[in-house]
Amino acid sequence: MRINGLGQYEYCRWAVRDPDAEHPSIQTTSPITFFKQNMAEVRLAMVNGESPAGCSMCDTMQQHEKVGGRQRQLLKIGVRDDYYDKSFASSPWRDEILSAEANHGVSNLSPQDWQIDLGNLCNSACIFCHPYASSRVGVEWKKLNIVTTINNKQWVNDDVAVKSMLDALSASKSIAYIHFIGGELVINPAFKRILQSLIDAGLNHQISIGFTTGLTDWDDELVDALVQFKEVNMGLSVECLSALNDYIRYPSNIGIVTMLMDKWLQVANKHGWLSQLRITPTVLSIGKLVPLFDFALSNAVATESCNFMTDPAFMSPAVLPVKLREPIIAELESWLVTNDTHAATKIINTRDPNVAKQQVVEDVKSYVNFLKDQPDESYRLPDLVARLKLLESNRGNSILTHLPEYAQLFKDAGY
Amino acid sequence: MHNYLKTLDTKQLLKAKIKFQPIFDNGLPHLEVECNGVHKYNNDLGHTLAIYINFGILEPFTLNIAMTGKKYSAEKETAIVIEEFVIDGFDVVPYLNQASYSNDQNYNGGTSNYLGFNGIWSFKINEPFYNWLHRNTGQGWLLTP
Repeated sequence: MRINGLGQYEYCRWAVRDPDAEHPSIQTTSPITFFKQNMAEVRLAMVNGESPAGCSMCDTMQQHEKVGGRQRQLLKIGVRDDYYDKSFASSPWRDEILSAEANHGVSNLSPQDWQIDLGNLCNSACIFCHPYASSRVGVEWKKLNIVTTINNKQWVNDDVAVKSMLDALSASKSIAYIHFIGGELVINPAFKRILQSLIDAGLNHQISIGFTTGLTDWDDELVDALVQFKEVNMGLSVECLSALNDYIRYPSNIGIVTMLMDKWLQVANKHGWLSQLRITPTVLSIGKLVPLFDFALSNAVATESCNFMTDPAFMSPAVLPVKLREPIIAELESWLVTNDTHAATKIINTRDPNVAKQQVVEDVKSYVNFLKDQPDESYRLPDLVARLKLLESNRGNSILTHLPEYAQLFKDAGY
Repeated sequence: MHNYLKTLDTKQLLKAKIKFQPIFDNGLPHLEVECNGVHKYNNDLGHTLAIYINFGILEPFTLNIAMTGKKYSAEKETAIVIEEFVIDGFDVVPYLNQASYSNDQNYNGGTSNYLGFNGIWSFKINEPFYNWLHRNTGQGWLLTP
């Protein structure tokens, strides 16, 4: 389950949020109650083989043979798509799932695996981001009249809400994993404060922590706290290894980004953390990924994108016209000729460091499949150009500095 | 989406196949095979032998193999090789380093599919096979309720 940046609950970290639905929040409902009771409806739907509307992102990923969140979460309970019936029959959770079904979806268990979004405190304004996820984007969007109001209220500054979460974690005897997201965690004092509370409660010995950083800052105290946990899964957000990364993850500096990437990887190697490069391929970066894949292979770390970009739709790689996709597909396929592991089975456990290379290969294949199969959405180019021009008017930069090969394409769309 | 409720009639038995190949340059080895408490073979082995056993999907699995009758010689070998060991279509041979081997030469240098001493070679899966498979094929955590 997940607590989003507004403090609202969602049944899954990958679930597409229905903005019109009523979402209980940590200010009104305890996490245990939400897990046991409020998730009953979605549990019932799933055991009956229905795909709730919120699961559409995972449906799309599986359609393009990209391992989705559904497969990864099922794997944690021992269930695999490729031998589903037998692995489900063997799952330690089988009886619990059937018991919840008999109990109208209500579970007697407590959550073991949470994603907790600590809000939008962020010093980056990535071009694909929005105020919900970045306070800096909020300030910029308000200035540019993209939005009229911004809500920077942080639920993690509500001591009662944080206590409710910590109480629920303490009451969850089998709590195993907490994945923190939300803005730039390295600069968020709530992140350190919560980690310290978990350490003080002695939960650090049983909990594995996941977190992602945008590689803009470093905090020794945070590292000191993280190393006390049972295990750490670290995500390093980066789009490419050139100054285009600074344009996309504005206003980062690729020199600092690569320096911090090395520094985090050194800590990870020293303490046996699991590391991944977290990428969010867009229409702008999809053609610049190969050096990043080479970096991943030479450092034995995997790359992973949570999903194919759907929001904003005009940033999706599908916006590239088919003709411009061809050289990118050719480059990626050429890379695969050299690096393909020709593995017979697909990796579902994307955190296995022993198969990092295969994972990168599968990631590359998923982009090739996407570029080949996804219908041309170049009709969205005017929307893309309009957004870039608006942001550039505030930032004083130009996409053509980094992607001169798209000059005509963008000019035709109004650049 | 899979329908969990439709899995309740999943076939509950898994099939294991173990195929033995004897080496008998210095006389036939005597082979005794017991699998999940069932004696499957007890005789001298002068030919390739395949045995099969069905066991429950949630049952543990134990294979005990006893070889006797070997006369040790520096020039001629007597041994038994597990040429094939498959459970429900999955090759188990790469995991036979998890076996234990009590033998008359007090050899404890690791186990494989090669049984070269008089003694008892045992391989155990102490949990449902698919949970064992999960743990042994790099599938990450297997959370329990």
